[in-house]
Amino acid sequence: MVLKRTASLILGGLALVAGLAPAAWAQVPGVTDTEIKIGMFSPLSGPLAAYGTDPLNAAKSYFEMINDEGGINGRKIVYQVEDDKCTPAEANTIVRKYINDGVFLLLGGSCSGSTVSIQELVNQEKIPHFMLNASGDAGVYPPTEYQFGSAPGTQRATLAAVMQYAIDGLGAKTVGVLGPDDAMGTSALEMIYAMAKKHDIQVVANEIIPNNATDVTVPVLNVQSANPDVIILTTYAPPTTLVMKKVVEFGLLDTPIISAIQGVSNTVDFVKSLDGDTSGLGNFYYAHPLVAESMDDPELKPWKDLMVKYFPERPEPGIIGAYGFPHAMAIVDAIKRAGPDLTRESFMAAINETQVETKVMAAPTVFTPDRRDSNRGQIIVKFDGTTVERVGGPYIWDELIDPSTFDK
Amino acid sequence: MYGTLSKSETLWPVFIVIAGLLLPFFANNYQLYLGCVLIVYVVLALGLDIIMGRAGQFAFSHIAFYGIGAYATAILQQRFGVPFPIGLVIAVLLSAGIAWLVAMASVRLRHIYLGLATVAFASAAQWLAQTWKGVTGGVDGMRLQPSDMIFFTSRTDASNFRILAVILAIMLLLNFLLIRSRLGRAMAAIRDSEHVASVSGIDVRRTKAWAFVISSAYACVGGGMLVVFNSFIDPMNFTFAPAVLLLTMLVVGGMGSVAGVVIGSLTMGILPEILRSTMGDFIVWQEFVYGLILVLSITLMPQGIWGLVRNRTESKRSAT
Repeated sequence: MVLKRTASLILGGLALVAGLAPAAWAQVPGVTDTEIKIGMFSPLSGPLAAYGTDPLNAAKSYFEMINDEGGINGRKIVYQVEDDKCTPAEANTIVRKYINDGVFLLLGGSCSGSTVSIQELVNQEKIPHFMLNASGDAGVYPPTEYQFGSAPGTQRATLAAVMQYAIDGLGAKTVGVLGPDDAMGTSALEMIYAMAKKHDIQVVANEIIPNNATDVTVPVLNVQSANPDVIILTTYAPPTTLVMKKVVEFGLLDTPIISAIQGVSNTVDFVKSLDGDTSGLGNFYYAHPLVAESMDDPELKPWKDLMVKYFPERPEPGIIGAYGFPHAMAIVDAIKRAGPDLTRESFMAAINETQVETKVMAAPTVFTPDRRDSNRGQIIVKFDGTTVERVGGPYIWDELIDPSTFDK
Repeated sequence: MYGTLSKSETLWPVFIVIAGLLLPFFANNYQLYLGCVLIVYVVLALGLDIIMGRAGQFAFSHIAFYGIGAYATAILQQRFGVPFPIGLVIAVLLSAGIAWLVAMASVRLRHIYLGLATVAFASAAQWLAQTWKGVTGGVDGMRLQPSDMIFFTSRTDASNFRILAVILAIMLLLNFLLIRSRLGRAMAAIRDSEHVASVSGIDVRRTKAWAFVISSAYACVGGGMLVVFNSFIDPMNFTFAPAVLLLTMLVVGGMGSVAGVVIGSLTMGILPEILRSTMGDFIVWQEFVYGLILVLSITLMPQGIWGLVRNRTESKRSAT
């Protein structure tokens, strides 16, 4: 008796809590005459919340703006939001919940691990998934039908731009590389070597700096002794700061340094991290994918205002927030072009012919049937500690090198 | 308590297998995935309870063996084409071997010293998973193919759930058998008093080592189960966060009892989903409420949910 009662309690509880009330059956999941339901997720708590909050607000504010303008073909965008904490397990649970709730498509993910972990699922379920601001190459190379990514640009896009500027703008014949040996670092190196081979450039040093490095003396000295024409950093922000401090300490001031992969996500914070010492920035460059360097620059200010209008509790959104716009725009654009008879099939046909000038990113947001990396362009800027000057780009990576170079 | 299995102990595994086979006909993929997560939690918590609740030893290395189980099963399957059931057995043997070595080095330690030694081992395992890129994929993780079950390939949440339910039933049955065995009695004696156990003729070191090995084998099986229903694993799965969660499950449910462990695992495993469903508009508050519920339950139910239920039942009995 006790056994029976306990068993029924567990089964009943499991079913009840997991939400047995499914969405009403519809011909097209998540689409009614008046609504299009989108499932959104990003890290909103924990240590990586900073990567997810502003990009998510950017996408939501764009959808709100579209709704305020009357919606798309008479339908308003309705979105649900969940916190994936950048973990694969949470992302998998959330996506299954959204599929069960009957959303039309998914927009979410700020970390490569969580987005790659749901790739098989979204393709199996044939539900379009757009990464929010995750940019790992593994999600889009090789491309899969239902997963779309790389709003900020892949490592291929970034390093192609960096190498092209090193060669054209700085006359490099040799380069030295400092970076991690994770997926980002490995993908970055792939492009560096491919561009070096194409242009007959020597990679004279390749030193590993882990993301959690606390001392970079040896790798910096090794690169210094190789005496490259240009030093390329594929490090994230914290190790980039460590390297730049060593550059000053070891007097490496004459060698141009180009930082890629968000080594400098915000110039003010970057200078602060250097304790205000800008003496190492005399010959310093970095790559980024946006039309401007700050959310207060005239090109990005309207987008900042839009975010603040709908989310006044964050009056100073970080520049990383801008990465949340392009895929929201691409989704809206494709839904419009799919017409009033919106289905997953008509949406997929439309998204496969996407070319959107977002006025947020330096290059257009593009999707084709065989390409899922939406942003292929990066620009190079020179930063001396106070002013930022655009010196190169936008460079479009597949115009710089044949993509088939990377076919395995 | 000791001797042959009771009727309910025999029936529970049978019930789990039947429920595991039938539930996929009624549940959707979200519920089944959630069910898979909960099943893994139960197996992991049962294993942790063997070393902590049954043998009374404070060990933190459980999460390392969870990782070893996951990576070993995944690597055997992905790289060498070893079917899951065989891979899982090899992984358990490997894990047991490593656990025996760790146990030999650490069984002399007690209390916080044993805890620290096992923390060091767990940290080393985590570091290895992150840096041994050629084998584990490093921080970028490993993509997993659907599991080969020899006679079929498990591709859906429904079949994954069924497989995991069967494994849970086996692990639960083994747990009942262990508790009722001579070894189980020896573990309980050590938990209550090492000195008394020792003078009673129990080989304390050997018993503690076996408890550690069996507990680690459970963690390894939990890791292998993770591979069945996930298409990706990375070192983030095996950090101290899940280790603390498992410990919480034991404390909330009630350490040293199968019912308490199961209740704790299900409660703490499903709580985030309840908060997700009921507090959708207050995402940032979900973590706070989770912590609050945890603190309150530990404060108000120091012996766990099962301890409270047991005390109430005994009070009623004595009143009548």
